Amino acid sequence: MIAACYTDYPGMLEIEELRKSYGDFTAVHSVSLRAGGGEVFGLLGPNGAGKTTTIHCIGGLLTPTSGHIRVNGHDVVREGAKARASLGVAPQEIALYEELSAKENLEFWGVAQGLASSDLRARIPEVLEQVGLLDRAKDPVKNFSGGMKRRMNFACGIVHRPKVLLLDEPTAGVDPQSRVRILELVRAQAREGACVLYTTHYMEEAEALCDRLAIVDHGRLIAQGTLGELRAMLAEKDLVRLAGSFPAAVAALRLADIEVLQHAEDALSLSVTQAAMRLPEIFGAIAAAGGEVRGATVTQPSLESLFIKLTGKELRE
Amino acid sequence: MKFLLAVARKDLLHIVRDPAGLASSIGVPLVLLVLLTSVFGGEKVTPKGKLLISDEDGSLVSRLLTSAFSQGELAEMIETEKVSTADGKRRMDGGEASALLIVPKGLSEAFLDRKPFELTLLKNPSQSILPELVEEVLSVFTEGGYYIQRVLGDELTVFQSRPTDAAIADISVRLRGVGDAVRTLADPPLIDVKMKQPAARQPVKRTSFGGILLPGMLMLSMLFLSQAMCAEIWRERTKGTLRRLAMAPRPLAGWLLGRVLAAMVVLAAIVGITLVGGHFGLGAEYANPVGLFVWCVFSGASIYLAISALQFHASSDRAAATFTNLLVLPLALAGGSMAPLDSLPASIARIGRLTPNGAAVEQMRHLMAGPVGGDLFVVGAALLCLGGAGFALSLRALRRGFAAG
Ligand SMILES: Nc1ncnc2c1ncn2[C@@H]1O[C@H](COP(=O)(O)OP(=O)(O)OP(=O)(O)O)[C@@H](O)[C@H]1O
Ligand SMILES: [Mg+2]
Repeated sequence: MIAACYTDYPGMLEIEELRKSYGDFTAVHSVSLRAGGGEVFGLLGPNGAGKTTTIHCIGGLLTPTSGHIRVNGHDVVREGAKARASLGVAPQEIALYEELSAKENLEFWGVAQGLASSDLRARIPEVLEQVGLLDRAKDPVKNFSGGMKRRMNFACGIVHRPKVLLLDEPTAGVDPQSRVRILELVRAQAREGACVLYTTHYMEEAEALCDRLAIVDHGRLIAQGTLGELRAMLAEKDLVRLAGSFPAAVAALRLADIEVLQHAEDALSLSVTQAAMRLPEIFGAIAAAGGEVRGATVTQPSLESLFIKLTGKELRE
Repeated sequence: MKFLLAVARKDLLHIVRDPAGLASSIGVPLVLLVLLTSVFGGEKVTPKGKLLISDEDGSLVSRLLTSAFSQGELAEMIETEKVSTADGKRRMDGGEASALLIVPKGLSEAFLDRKPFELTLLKNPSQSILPELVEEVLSVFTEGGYYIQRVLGDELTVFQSRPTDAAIADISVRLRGVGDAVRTLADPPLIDVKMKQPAARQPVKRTSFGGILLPGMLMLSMLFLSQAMCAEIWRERTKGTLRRLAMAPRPLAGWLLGRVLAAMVVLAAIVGITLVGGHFGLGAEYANPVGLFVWCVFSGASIYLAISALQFHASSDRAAATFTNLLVLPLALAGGSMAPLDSLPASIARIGRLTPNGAAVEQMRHLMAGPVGGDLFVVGAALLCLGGAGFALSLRALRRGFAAG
């Protein structure tokens, strides 16, 4: 039902052929995507994929080398202030004033992001309640735990009820409880009609949260679609990860319906239909090629296996 | 406007919650002030002034008089040089000496006849301590002090302001023991000293020694304070709050102005405390307290803006810190913050007067002493330009992506 919403408000966030270079190095190559109100759009990629760079371009902090970005219909370069007026950002780093209390931070960021002072008073306890920090309102942020700071970082991004919310790895370094809470909060934002761009390298989060996803690697968009569409790209194949020793001959194995995704001396990843039933056959073939298997895991089709299939490497390495 | 106030409030809250950084920026100059006052007030280190003496009389008496300046403790403070009147005047015009004493022909006869006599003392208007010192010595001399100098030389402490009545009484009492010959010669006033100085500087409000050092020390505080507050620019960038702000709808100019506002509030507090403390604690006198206060805050703010522009153009937070340190300390030295400009070598003092802080300190002294001259507005306009340029350069750096790094 939520997934259907975005088609009703298309183009809250539109990125066309975005490219950002730092000198000779291009951090983002030709990324295009579109997300609407009420939608959580996942931007999934490993370290250095260009996720933060993309967010900084949307926020007007960086000027794109080429391409266009519109937020709520406003071009971020030509109508920067108007575009930013619809924007809320929770940066990857904890960007808070540590000497100030939770309440004072919200007051400051509320004003900075254009929240009217009349709204401010009612809104602050509401947001603190949402992130579970109401009882710590008067404490300086520097006394907070890592997870509490994360929640506070998030709170400052939503205090002004933005139409477009950019979340850059909002769950980095938090305990499972805080993580669950933050994911809940993100869903709530989308339910209230916000367009959320959610950046992460946790596959499980993206699978649990996002209506649509883009997978990026080395600044390139390598797949985009709904979770279902992306899963279909794997053709219902399982991911088999083996540990042991695998000489070069193993990489050349040819078995029906089995694809070698990744090969290293001590690790091998395979894409296999109904893997559980075919393991003895696989082990036999590896032994015949001079290899040895010491451990095996079988994973159902997932974004993770898709990522490995598309890039030939693990997401978090 | 609301955003600007929010930024200023945030900065001030930060300072109130974490005052250690600022405390040291104010504490260091304060300690220096106390140290210097005690050192200068004692007898170890003394500023050296140059007194030009044109002895047109050339008699024994005139030589005795002029030699008073090159004896004992006075010799450590004043360097004398014999010149011709014309040469002396020329060099005074060039600002090369603290004062010129002209002893005209006929001193000897008048002195021996015990007739009133006139000496001429030309003082350098841009110096305050040393001309005063010379004047002090002469006034002591004209009241019989010449002999006091000869007899009680070691006890002559010229660094207190004009001899009080009590001190003169004390001197007179001790003089009785010196002998009739001396006493007859010591009947005051034998010699009248005529002061020559540009009219604009009159009447001069006298201040204590601590008061003389006060403007320089206040400027040192303001320099350190500006430096400490400007370091926050890099902290905000490293911390990511500046990046976050750049992605918010409010213009970064508001952030910059809010910071300046906060700096001015802190500067005003420090100036206020220093001036009040200087008055009650060090005996400093202010001819124009309101003007002085406004001037201090204004000059502090423009120097803050100049330092902040430097911070924005450094390549890293470390570079910014090193760079401003390397700049602020020599500036403070040359600008008369560690020791008054008068007491610095002429070449350094000349440079010091051209530094923004040195020029501002000079005007502070003038505002303490008496009516303001036209150069206040010249220096004011220059500081306004400096502050304006600092702001414009900072804003340009911000717009060119300082936040993004
Ligand atoms: N200012 C810069 N100058 C040069 N290269 C940069 C700069 N900022 C980022 N990069 C490079 O751009 C690439 C993308 O960085 P980015 O921070 O966008 O990655 P990311 O997907 O957010 O990674 P992570 O998951 O680690 O946060 C990286 O290779 C990074 O080194
Ligand atoms: Mg990142």
